Amino acid sequence: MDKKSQGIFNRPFNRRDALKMLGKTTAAGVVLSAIPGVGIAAMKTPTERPNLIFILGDNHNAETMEFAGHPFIKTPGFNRLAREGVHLQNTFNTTSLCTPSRASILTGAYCHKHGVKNNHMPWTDSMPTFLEHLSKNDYATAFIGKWHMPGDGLPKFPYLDLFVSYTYREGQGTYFNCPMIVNGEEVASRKPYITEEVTDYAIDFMKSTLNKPESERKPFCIYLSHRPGHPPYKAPKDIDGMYDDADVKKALPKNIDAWYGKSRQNVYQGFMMGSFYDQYRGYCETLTAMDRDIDRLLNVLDEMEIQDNTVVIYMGDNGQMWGQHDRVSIKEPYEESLKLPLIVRAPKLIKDPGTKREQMALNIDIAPTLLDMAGVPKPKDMDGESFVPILKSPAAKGRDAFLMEFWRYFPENTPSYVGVRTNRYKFVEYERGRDPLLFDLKRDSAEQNNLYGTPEGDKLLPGLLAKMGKLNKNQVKFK
Amino acid sequence: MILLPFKRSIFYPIIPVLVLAVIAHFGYYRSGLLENDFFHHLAANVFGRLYFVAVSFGALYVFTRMTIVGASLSLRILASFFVPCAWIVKEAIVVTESFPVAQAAYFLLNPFHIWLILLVVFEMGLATLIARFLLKMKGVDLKVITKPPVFVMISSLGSVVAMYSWGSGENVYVMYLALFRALFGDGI
Repeated sequence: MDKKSQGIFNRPFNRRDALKMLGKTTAAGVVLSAIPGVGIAAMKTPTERPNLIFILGDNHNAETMEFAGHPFIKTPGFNRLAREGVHLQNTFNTTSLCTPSRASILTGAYCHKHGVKNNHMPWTDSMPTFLEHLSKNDYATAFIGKWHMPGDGLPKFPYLDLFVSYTYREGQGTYFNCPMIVNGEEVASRKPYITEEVTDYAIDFMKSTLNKPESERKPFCIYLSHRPGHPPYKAPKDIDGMYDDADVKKALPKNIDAWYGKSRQNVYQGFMMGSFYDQYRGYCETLTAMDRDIDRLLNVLDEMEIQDNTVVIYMGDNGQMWGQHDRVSIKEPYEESLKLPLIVRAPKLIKDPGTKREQMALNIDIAPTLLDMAGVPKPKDMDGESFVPILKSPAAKGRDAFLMEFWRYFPENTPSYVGVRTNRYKFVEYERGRDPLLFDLKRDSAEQNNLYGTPEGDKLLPGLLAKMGKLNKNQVKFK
Repeated sequence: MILLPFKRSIFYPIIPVLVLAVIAHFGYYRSGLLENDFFHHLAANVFGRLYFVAVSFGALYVFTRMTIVGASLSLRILASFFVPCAWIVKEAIVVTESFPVAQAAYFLLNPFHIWLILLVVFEMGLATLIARFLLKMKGVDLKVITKPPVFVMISSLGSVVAMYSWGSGENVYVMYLALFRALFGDGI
């Protein structure tokens, strides 16, 4: 069967297709930019273009930040970001699992398109990353920190000016003295704690880029990927034990006890891994450690006097359930694991700092948003949308639904599922093992009342299935 | 003393451990239904500990008891593994919710389960010494400490400690996942 007869949604989308499309899109953008007032394609000159820093946390539950109302965690860095920027409080991932979500962030595409479907799958290299697009458009680009995709070492990204990461323990690294790989060379860690180490690399990169002669100077884009809050939770000495006296019961569901464990409340694992309360305290301590280095980075931007022309975005790769719905998981289709923390500080774009946005944003929106901020047209293969209009105006129209997709990941006990989340409803169907879920999130934000199979659910289902089908385009098939 | 056939059977020591494990299982998992916070946590702590003790340390009682009544080594081993293996199989059945049978079978080799098996092996060595000591106290002429049980204890406990202390157990888990990928690819 030739490519044309396969149809665009059925044939594999390879890297060559992506670059071909990128070339056409860029050319079209340049032509359009010559016409005053047309689209976003008005290309910005290098001096106008902002520096971009995208910071990624790991398993960061969206509510576990001081400014978001958490009962005890201290996060002055996040507080500052939210005060000086905008908190997009309805942000979600399209696939609630580390590796696929990270691939979606880098490519701006759903997993069924880029092909990285669970943590056992290596980077497919089927689509360019937003860093590649920016590099082609005269940005100095750096990937620093956790790569977290399996495979034989790190992938080759020749377009990056700096690639700092680690492959130790399946790319999870360690909190202390993690061996780093800098542009392909393994080097010892320079700072004992991982968040300090990667932040130092980011600061060095900013300084070296901006210290270049003006004729060679480019705006920079840094992808800074942190390890917190991934287990096993280990904080630096001066933060370790910080929450020992905190009343964790205020932050956790009522059904939790000290020996609660993973794998559907497996008490044995609870015992083996230590007190559940202590694990939660450790989780919060690692997030506080990361927050401190984010705050340090913001201070360096101030010192360098580039804070006004530097966009800082913080997001998590997926959420984390701490006993809600009797699960300790990042993969379930419930709000606690789907929802992401997302804060954006962009002084030149945001006219109402310290506010929130209600519109939905997604992990796949990061790539097109960064390209939009840099004045680079969005490639057609990206599924996400720029949320720059939402940053500019709280009244801007947001999306009304997105596709949820998840492929099982051994040995974590969550069946594959596909679903749709609208502004009001959520419908999920599993490949096996569990009944479908249908929630009215407006009336039942805690997702306690499954409407599937009820008369009310029966009325809602056709509309939701139609919406899911439209988003899905038959790409995800479990049944 | 002449023991009744049942008291000499494999079931005699297993039943109390199994019953304790089952009661503790239901006690622990139902504790969340208690509205009162104090009683919820009290029940969870008591039944959670009992569950852990029954699954993890029940073999100590089973092997000791069966050694005292003179059961064969193979029967003693079989009886000691009964409750821990029942628990491991139950856990593998739970994950069939998400995974095909072959992958759920691989779940049996989960490092948690390996640690448990090694712990049970350690308990068998220790139980041998305890049973001999008790028999000697009753006047039986035997040597309490011999090389085989001590070797079993040192090698099994040493393996548990080594596996756990090597990267806090993370490295063993990484190897477990690597073997999964070698067998099942991405597992989808």
